[in-house]
Amino acid sequence: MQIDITIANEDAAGRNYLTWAPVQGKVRLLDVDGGDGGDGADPVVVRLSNDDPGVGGQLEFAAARDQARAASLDLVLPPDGTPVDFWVAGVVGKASSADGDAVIRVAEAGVAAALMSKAVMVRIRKNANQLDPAERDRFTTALARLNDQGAGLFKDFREMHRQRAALNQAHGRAGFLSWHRAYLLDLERELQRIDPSVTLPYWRFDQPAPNVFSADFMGRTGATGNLIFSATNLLRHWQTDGAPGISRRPRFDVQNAGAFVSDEATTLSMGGLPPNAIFDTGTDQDGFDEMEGDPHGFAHTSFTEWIRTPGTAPRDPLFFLLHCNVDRLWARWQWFNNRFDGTQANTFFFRGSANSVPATEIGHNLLDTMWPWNNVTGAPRPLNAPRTPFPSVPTATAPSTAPMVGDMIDYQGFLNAQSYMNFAYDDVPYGIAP
Amino acid sequence: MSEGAAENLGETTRREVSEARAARSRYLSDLAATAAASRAARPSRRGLRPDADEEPAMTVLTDRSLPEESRVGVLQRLASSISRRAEYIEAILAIVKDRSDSAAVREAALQVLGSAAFQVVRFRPHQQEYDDALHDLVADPEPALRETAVSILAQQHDPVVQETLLEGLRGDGPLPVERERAIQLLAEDDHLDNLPWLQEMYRSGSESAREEAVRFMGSYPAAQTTLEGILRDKRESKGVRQQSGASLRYLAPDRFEVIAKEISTDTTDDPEVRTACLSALQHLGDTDRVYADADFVNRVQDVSSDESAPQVAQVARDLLEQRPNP
Repeated sequence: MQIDITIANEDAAGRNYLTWAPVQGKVRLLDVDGGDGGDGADPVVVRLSNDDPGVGGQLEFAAARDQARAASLDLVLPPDGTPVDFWVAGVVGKASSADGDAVIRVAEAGVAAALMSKAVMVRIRKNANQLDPAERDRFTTALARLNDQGAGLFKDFREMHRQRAALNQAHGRAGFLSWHRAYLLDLERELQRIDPSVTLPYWRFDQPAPNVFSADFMGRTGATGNLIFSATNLLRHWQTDGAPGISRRPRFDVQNAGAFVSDEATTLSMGGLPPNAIFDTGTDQDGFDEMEGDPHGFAHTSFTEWIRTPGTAPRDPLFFLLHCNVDRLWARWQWFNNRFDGTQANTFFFRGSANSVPATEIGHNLLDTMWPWNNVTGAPRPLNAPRTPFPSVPTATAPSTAPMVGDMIDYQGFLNAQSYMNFAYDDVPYGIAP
Repeated sequence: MSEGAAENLGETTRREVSEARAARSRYLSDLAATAAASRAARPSRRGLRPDADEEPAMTVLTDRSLPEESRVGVLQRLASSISRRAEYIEAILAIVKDRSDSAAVREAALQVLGSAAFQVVRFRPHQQEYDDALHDLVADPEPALRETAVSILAQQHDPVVQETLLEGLRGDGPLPVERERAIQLLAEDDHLDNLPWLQEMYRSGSESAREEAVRFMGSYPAAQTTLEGILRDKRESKGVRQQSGASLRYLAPDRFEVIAKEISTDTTDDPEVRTACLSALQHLGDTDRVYADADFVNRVQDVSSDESAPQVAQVARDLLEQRPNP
């Protein structure tokens, strides 16, 4: 008996990269003209499960998108080869650590031997301090190759966060979190072109992270403020703005303390408690978006040198780990407060475009497209657009090539499956908090 | 995630967030009491009675008779909300500029301004005054404030602070920071002729200072010969040599490739420097050209089985494993 199994959003090489969000799959009998599943034969009951529940990324299955998922699923396959739908997602807490380490096993119900298996990856953004050495090295190597000593694509990401007009698109108003979510995702997709098993890790800045500030990872600070890298850490070859290396001096004890920021619970409490928590008020107070000051701003000012000021911050690769945590905090707040629907005032206050009433600055309203991916240049936008369009990938259905501010909100496709961006955080489940 | 696990996570988050809100309420209550006491004491102390409607945070922030911790607490705990409001930004700027105020409060205030400066659109009306305050701090008697201000301005290639640093290095004026630090900060702008200062730092500095000097030399083509010499110098520390390799690779990738091939297959050289050279050859730049060098690949083959240098051997095996098919 031969079985075929396919999962939506496979890449050009036929590989699947899953998150916590359910993705549709199809399974069918192949040998419809003979053998056990041929014409006139009975339907075959197969069971989908994890090949080894103790090893690698783990998956769960359901017969419909909104059904509760379980570690195994029995499906009845028609003998004529008609495909049967199922839904599959990663199990929170059981992400992959290597490409293809999550294996779907298909077996006939009640039979020990597998009919087939399919290897996928539960590709999740993780706490940088807890990466295993192989994950860490894949990330630093991909990042160094993207930088390629200043000649690589990274220079476009650096340009996006340099001049005043560019910084205006991304800071000081409600679009701050959406813009940076898109910025990180764009960078992550470029890293995944180099190594598809890589995700952006986050630096949880309210906790000690000695592994992050080590010679094997983001660099250990030496006596003169120099960063020390191990022999195989290619970030030693980092280069931006025509200058080699990285300038960074922590003002806090990186071995034993977090940065000078509010703790996570305090951040998640910004904007109020469920069900009344608000993202922003359209004024200068009392919304979750106040986190742009603390913890975000304070995480930056917990250092001196590049990462401390907006125009130079992305020259330091730590910037992307810091902002990955900022984005994770937003994702956790969304999950905790059910804030995925951009049409609701509690999710986003300025729900029109820059021409609407009321409106805030261009690039910060829900229906504004975001620079540079929209390729709109000239005042009030910046004079050029270093990254356009937003890269589409087969593993995701969103965002569009010119994403709007509001497009970044339902990133897991919870309200609309077409909004699925194929990233998730290790401690932020799919959906809303029960 | 099982439904039970999700429920636990939700419950834990709910409890922690509720506790955080309660802690904030307690803090605001304490702050109100502190502010009330401050207001009550103020008329007798200064003959001034603050506006009865003045917010507690503002009262505490601006009352210099209160303990530093109370005022720093306002800056740290309420930073997000107050740094969005013009009257607070003005008050915080005034604190930073006031040399007679507590150094600890001024430093905390400077961090809040730095954080607020990230909110570019919102901070725009205050940017000039913030820049002016930073320039004033360059000559501040408080070393930590000087250091922070000089560092911020130097990263922005501010010509005034660059001139101050240059004058200090030449002996024509006071240096606002240590000499080595001044060279580092000046070196952030590679449009300046910093090579003589970097050579001074390399000659006279500690190992970590030499590493920094070599890093910044990578911006100057005239330093190529020096960097080649340092990379080859087996008496130099391995950290400085590795940084020299990275800087040379930026200036002259072809020269780096030639020297890195020699070093990585030289069994008498330091294993860490050899590993660093081999890793760079494997992953960065024109790797096809590296693999096309049959003589080099043969030498790497020998290295890969050299158990006297296991880390080098491992990287050599990785390099050979990833060789593209002919």
